[in-house]
Amino acid sequence: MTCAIAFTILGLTLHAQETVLTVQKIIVNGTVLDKTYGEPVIGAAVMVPGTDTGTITDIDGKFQISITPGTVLQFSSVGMKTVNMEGTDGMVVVLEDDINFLEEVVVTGYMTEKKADLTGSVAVVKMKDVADVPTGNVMQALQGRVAGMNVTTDGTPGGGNTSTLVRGTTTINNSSPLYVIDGMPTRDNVGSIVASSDIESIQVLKDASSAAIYGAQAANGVIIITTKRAKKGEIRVNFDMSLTAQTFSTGIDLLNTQEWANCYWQAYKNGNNGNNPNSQLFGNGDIPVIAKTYQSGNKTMKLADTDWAKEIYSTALMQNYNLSLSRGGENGGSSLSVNYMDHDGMCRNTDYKSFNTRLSGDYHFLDNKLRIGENLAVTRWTKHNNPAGIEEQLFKLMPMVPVYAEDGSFGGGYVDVLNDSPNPIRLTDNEANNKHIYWRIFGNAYVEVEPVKNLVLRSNFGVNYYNEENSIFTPKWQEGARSVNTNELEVSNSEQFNWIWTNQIQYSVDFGRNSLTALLGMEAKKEQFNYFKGYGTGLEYEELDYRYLDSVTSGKNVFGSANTYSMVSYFAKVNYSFDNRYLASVTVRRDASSRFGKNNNSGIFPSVSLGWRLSNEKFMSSAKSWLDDLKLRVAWGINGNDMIDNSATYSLYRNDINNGGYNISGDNQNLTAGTIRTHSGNPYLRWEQTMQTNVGLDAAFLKNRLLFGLDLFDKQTKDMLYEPAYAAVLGEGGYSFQNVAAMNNKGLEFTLTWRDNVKEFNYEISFNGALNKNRITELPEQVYYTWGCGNGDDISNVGQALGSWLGFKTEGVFRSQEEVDAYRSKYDVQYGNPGVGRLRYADTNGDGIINAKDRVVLGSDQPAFIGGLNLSASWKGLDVSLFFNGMVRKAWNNSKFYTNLWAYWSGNHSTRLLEAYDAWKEYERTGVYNSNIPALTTDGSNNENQSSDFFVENGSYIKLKSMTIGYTLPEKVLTKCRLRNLRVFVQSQNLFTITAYTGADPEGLGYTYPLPRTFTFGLSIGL
Amino acid sequence: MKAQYMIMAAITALTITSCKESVFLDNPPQATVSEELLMTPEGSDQLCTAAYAALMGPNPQDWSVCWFPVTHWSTGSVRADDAYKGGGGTGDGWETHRLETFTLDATDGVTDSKWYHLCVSIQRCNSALRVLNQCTEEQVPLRERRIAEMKVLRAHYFFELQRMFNQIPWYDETMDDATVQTTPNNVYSREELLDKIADEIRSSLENIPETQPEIGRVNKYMAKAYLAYFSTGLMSRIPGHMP
Repeated sequence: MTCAIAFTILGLTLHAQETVLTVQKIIVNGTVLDKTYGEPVIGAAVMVPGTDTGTITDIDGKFQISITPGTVLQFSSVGMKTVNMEGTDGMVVVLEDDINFLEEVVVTGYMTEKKADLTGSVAVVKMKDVADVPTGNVMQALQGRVAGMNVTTDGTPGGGNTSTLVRGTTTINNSSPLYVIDGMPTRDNVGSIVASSDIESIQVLKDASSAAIYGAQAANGVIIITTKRAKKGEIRVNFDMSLTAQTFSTGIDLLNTQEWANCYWQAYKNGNNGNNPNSQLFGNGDIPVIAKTYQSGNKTMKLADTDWAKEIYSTALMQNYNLSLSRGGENGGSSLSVNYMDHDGMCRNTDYKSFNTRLSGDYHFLDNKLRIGENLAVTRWTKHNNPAGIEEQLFKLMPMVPVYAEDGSFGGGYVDVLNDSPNPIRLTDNEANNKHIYWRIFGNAYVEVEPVKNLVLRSNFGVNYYNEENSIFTPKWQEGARSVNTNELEVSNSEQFNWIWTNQIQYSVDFGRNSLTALLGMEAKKEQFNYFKGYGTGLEYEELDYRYLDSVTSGKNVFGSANTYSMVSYFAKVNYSFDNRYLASVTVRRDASSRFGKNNNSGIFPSVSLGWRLSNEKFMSSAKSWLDDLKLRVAWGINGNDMIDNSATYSLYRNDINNGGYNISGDNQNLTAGTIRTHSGNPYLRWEQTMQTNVGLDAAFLKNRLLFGLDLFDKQTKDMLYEPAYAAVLGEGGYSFQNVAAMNNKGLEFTLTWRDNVKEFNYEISFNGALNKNRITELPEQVYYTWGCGNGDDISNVGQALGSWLGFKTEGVFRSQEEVDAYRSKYDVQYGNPGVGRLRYADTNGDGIINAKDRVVLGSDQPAFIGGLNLSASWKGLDVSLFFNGMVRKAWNNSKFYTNLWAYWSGNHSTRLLEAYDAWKEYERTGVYNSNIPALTTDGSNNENQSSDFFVENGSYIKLKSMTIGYTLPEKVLTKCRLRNLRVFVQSQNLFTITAYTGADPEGLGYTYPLPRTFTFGLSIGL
Repeated sequence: MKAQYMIMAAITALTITSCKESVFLDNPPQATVSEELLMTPEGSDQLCTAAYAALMGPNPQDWSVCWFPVTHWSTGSVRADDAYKGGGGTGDGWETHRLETFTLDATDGVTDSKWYHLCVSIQRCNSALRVLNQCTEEQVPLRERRIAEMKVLRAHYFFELQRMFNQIPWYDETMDDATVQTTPNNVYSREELLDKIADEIRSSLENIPETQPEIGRVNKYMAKAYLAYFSTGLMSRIPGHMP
């Protein structure tokens, strides 16, 4: 019986085994796609974990594997997060990029490095944050996004009026940074070289050691821009477009005709002992009576209520179209992009149209031992500019002046209370017919040889060609009695040709736990500029086809000149790391330039930096659960600034008939020209030098969800170039460039990022900020007390910021006659003329006298803090982001001349003065003047136009700079439509501002082309 | 092997490019007159013409011709009651009003401009003399004559300076900019300065012809008349001084 049971069990077991042995395997066919673009992942590994079974995906991302049902397969690919999924036939696996920031690679000078190994201070701009911003100049979109970078811009179409400062104002001369685009250094406007949609990455080299490899060009910081290149195994077609409406939102309410007349009447009476004014437009009674018309010459003008801002500013459309094609194959790839932008400006008849095309390719041969490549971008753009000073003119023009006279000619006329402002409709009409045409060809070609592994020799030749043509015609005109009866034509052309040739050798070697990379190179460059201009007057006809220089009949004049600049450099860099824990980098560069004296034309710029990755130390291993990375770094270096005139070291003379001409023949007819000196040379002139020390910290916590970076720096600029005042005995042309003056910038920058996800809801909060303190530390003796905010006596700009203001301190306005009398009896008033409603000056030095000695330094508008906050979130296909930026600083509000004062401005004023008008009426009844705005008067004897803290306001602000909402179609729908990507988005910029500043726009101080509030609709299709 | 060749090629490329550095970096200024161009007969003549032009101003187109003219309208005629200032009252041209009423002080910009004009005039003569001193007879045939002309002009400008400002620094074309800026103004007394001015003219006499092909230039009679003015007119009024 037991035997039978045993046999049965054995039999069952055997049977069971057999069953196992004979279970069917299934064939699983599947596809592996990447999450970002839905593209197939080629060469992804498909493995059964713990076995040798596996395969890889083919060129379409497809694979086939034979497994037992229920087996979990593991999918992995370099740079992507590994995914485990049960194998079922027809499966689609999605892999996403593993953005481990430790592997992130950045382009620094002449080489690429891992961000994790950097010992200097380098900021990387996240291009996806700015990709949606429609602009002609990518730099415009970066304000507040990089800690320590201050971008000032305005609403000029094309974004050409954008300036950038890295870590404060570095020098009293030109502080703009160096841009390196695909290895080509340039200081030209980035928008004219590369379209924002073609940019792959932007890095900002902020400190001396990271920028040191650029030597004499690096003192103001270096911004490295790399363009998109075809990726291996991809064929891509992308079409992006956006339409943007720009609205004028920074206007100030101005008085209309009746309000102006009322205010003028009150002001005149206050300033002229109660007498009524006598005006052709308003009569001479006790109250103004608006006349129907006025005469100017033989033209009759009807008095109007013109809102000049409305006549000139209107909502404008910006259109942006990009098409890019790229193909990456086994042996390289190429890409072509075409960009067209049509940017109408809010100001009448201003615009910017640009057409840009870029062709680039990279190829490799001989088993990747030989690589060649090129970039070529051609851009042609045209503009129409806003007439010079028009922003200020719009506040000067009186509302009484009609746009057109009764007979249709231009309104205007310098009559009675009207001033001499030109009619802006006439000026903008003129500009509409002027021509400004520009071309730029920017490109480079390189050859790279790698004869032995990790030894790379590279030679790169780059070219930057620029051509500008202008044709400006001013027709005959008449505005009432004012007329000019000759027309004039000016045609000019400038050309700039730059070339640069760089050769470098790079070698990397790893031995044991040591890793070393060495770079050695040389560079030569030359820049040639020339320009000429023709001028003439008296064209018989003003038709557009007639406006050429052949048509001028008199006043012919010609101009032209040229200059050249060349530089030769040698540089070397060594990067060393031990065990990924201890990092060191040394750079040296020698630059010799033609801009400096023969005795001193070269300089050596060294730098050293060290880094310590604390998180890899044994004693930190217990923190591994929450601390992913902690690196300390310290850097020191010297950079130079070479931006001065090409002929600064020479003594220059000019042949002049006006100022140097003499009738030497004695015939009383002809002057003979003489030669006079215009500039004195200095053969000892040398580079401005900036020495910078930087201490920094980078940290990542909680599985790279929390990132933190901190930098502290101290930047000393010395030997700044300046032409100091000289004793008169030297005669004319005595100005010469000297290396005098020194400046210091100290600051702190930080970035804090938190990104996480809750199931399918991803979000990121990123905050960056920078504090900066700027001081002038040295000035030449001759101007120690007179330069900048010096008072010529005992106050100097040394120890104060660049651009500091000197002025009186005020204590509000006098509210009653008693206050005025008390003030007069207390102080010996030698400055100003106190009265009710007038500004009250403080006796800051306490000597009982109100005079120029009471002036003090009132501060400057150097920003104390600049920051940006980016909030972004995405859920399924929807993405939302909000970006705030802000600044803490003082601002000089020049517009107060017309918003808060009457006497010192002969134009229109703001409705704010109606408060002063009412307050004065109340004073006449009650004897108390209850307003902070000075009373209306035409009498300027209280000197309220002079420098005082009345004009200094808190210019700090927080702006909701941009808000974007986008939607990407889900993959299922995309594959049905055979599309790789389809995204639509809406965006708005400059939505609202929180500020105490009472001028037009705290971001754009002064009379700049206004920054619009914009509304954008955009579409992006990828095949 | 290949690597060695590559490295050699690279080093050769580096050295070739470095050889011509000084030539590559030599970019003289364009569209302006450089110091090389001045060392020619045409160049030195034009510097002389500019020195003559200073007799009219200098820079009469740019600068005011009524507040500090070479004709001494404000400093001479108005001050001496030979002419009225005119205009819209004492506030109109207040500096000239102060000259007229002898209440001048250091805040007056007009007097500073006059000083500067005369210094520019002297500097133009010095610029011409510097270039002429370095040229040879072959380069500039009329070298001696031009040097003499410039010295007479310069003496005239120094005289103008001296009679308006009294204590003035004495400097010539052999001093460089740094020395000129630090030369004190109280080295010579009034008599010594007037003697030096007269000596400058006297020593130039032999090189100046009686007539010049260009009438506008200095000739012997003009120089002698100036000397006569010194010795008989001006100097004789200084007590204890004999010509």
